Amino acid sequence: MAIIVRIPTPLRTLTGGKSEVDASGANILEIINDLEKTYPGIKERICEKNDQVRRFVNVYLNDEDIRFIDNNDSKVKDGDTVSIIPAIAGGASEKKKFYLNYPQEVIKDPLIYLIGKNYNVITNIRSASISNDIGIIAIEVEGEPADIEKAIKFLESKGVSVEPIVLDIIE
Amino acid sequence: MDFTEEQIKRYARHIILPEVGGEGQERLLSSKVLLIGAGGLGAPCGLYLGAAGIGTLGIADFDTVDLSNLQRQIWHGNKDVGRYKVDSAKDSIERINPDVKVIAYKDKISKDNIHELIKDYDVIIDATDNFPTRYLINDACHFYGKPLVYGSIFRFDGQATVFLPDKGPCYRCLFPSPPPAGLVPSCQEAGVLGVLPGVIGAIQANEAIKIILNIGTTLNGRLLIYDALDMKFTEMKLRQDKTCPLCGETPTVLDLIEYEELCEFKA
Repeated sequence: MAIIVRIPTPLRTLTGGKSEVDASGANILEIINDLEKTYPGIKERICEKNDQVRRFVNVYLNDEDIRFIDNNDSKVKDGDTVSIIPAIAGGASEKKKFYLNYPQEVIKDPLIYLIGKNYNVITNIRSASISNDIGIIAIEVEGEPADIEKAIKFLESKGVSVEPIVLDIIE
Repeated sequence: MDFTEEQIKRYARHIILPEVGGEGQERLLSSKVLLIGAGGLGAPCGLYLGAAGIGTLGIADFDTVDLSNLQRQIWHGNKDVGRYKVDSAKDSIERINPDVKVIAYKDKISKDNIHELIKDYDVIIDATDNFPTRYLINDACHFYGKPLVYGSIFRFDGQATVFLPDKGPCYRCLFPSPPPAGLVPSCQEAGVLGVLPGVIGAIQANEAIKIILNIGTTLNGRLLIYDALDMKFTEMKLRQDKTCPLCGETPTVLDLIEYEELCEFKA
């Protein structure tokens, strides 16, 4: 039987841009498993490994949260609409520029690689002066404001001094 | 309160509404609203609240205006790039309505200063852009009994609702915990349609005004979902969760916590 599933924009990369897709099944878990068959990768964005819906995603059957029906066992019938609603916080990505001043002992550590990997920020080195005992880098960091902040905290925890570049001198 | 002639003229289209009237307009003029976030949601929300004659408008934001903000943060202009957002916002409001007392807060809000910040305000508006601050605001509004108008956006999706103290659900009933950093869409996928926060921010202003005037039906208990691409508004039931860590039957969050850690990425 055909159930309409509404897909939020963050997951539409997995559905080829479609905002509504059809799925079949007798309950929510069957619907999610059916979605996974057609759009591989979508289930892990919605569910934990034990199939439970993640705590920052809500699944609604029509206008009711499945946590207040029967969770994954909530029965669905032809014509029902299932909506997936993730927590969103805003955050258009931002670009910020900083001077990083490395203490000597961490000059050889791949800290910029690590912030890119761990905090999803895009880094772009605009100028640098690096020798055995001096490491000064002017860097552009692009990402969600909260992620940029975490990346800065991480660098500071490694002893790097992070100074915002106030004037637009590296453009 | 006696209206000046200028005020009677300025608020005539409000005063003529039976739901507002002179009494309602007086109430707006003596109300205090705190807007947390002076960006995409904050701009339209603050502009409408200012135009409506909210007596005291607190605006909290520690950030400065960047050129890339201007696509959606409509109370800042080209000349404001590099200024504190709250300073630019204050100028905009004062240009529109000198009745409004704008108080600008440039400190980053934290568990240590949020009580001091919110305690004198009647309504709090969450116009922020990150999870740690959203949980902090939610918890503080619960502990200190403040109505909270929630709005959130991402790319083409918007959400809005109203959380009332001692009544109905809170943000943690909706989303018990924030997503770990790795599962938040990466910045390559991010971005936001400039008009989207305009729609949601205006809805937040509308709800704040209704709370102050005690008119109509607020979004309390309903989650409004806006899809700007399909141009669809949908509404979901938002229920108080008995197992909510904050407002449930056996709460585990008993005081404000360190919110950055709550959202920290654990590799």
